[in-house]
Amino acid sequence: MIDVVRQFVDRKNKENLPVQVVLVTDADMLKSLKDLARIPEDAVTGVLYASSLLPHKRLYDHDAFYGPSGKIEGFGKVSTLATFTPAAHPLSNDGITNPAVQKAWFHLACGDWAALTQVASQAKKKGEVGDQAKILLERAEAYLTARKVAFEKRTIDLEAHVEGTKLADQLARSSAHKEAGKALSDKLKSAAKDEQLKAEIVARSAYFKLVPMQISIKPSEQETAKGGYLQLAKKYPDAIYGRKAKVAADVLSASPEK
Amino acid sequence: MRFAFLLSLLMLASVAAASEGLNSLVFHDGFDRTPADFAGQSIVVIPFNGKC
Repeated sequence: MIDVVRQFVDRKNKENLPVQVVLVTDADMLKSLKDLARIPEDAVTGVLYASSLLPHKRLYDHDAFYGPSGKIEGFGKVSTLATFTPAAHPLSNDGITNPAVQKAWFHLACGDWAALTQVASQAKKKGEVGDQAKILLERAEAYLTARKVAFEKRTIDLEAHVEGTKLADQLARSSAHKEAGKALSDKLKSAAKDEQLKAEIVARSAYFKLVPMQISIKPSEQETAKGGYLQLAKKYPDAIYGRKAKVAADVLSASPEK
Repeated sequence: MRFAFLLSLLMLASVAAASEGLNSLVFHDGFDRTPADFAGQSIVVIPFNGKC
């Protein structure tokens, strides 16, 4: 099975496929899987290793393929990875044939927006690299503009705050959107002064500090996580992550389901 | 008829479980990603239970 995944990751890198591969496993199996798989933990060139907060009996046992919108496109078997073709990315790579510019597109499409600096440098060059990098830079900036415009219509709730923070960071990487990135960042900071949103942000932050302990193989850390979740649920009963903390505490309090 | 109904229930249960699964993932590189982090990309989720 791991061989099939490794071969797919090789193909992803060779063909610049904008797809994320997530290997989900137990905390206690993670180390051996990493050693066994010998696939880098990298969102662009490797796979992402993850655990599920769900009890094992509820963790799905099908391989699942999701489309660009995050909706399931189908259940597959890992063997179908050999022929799996991801959907087209909204940031088009049509006409990008130069290997260096293609690789830069691959990084952007896989969410590595630090690559935008490289594209901007490539765009200053003459010849094929410069010509194609200019096209890619224009498309990347148009893609950022479209996302910025769509975001401006949103009410700043917790989800929007989390996504907006990431978008602000991506905008700041573009010389054309640097000011917009700062403006969005300031807008989010201002929104976070609202007491309710502030509580949601604090609860979320605390929740994600407890998560690594929940999926730890050490019982003592799981106990610490349980105590933390209970406190979080008590302090923020109406916050989204306060309610999630209650669920997590209940899961940890239940009998082991492994 | 009954078989088709049961099959559709099973499919629905599988889809619901998988959606829940994607939102419940915790990434070991320390980032608290949400599905929005993968905007534009296809995602392949492979549960690994040690059986090869």
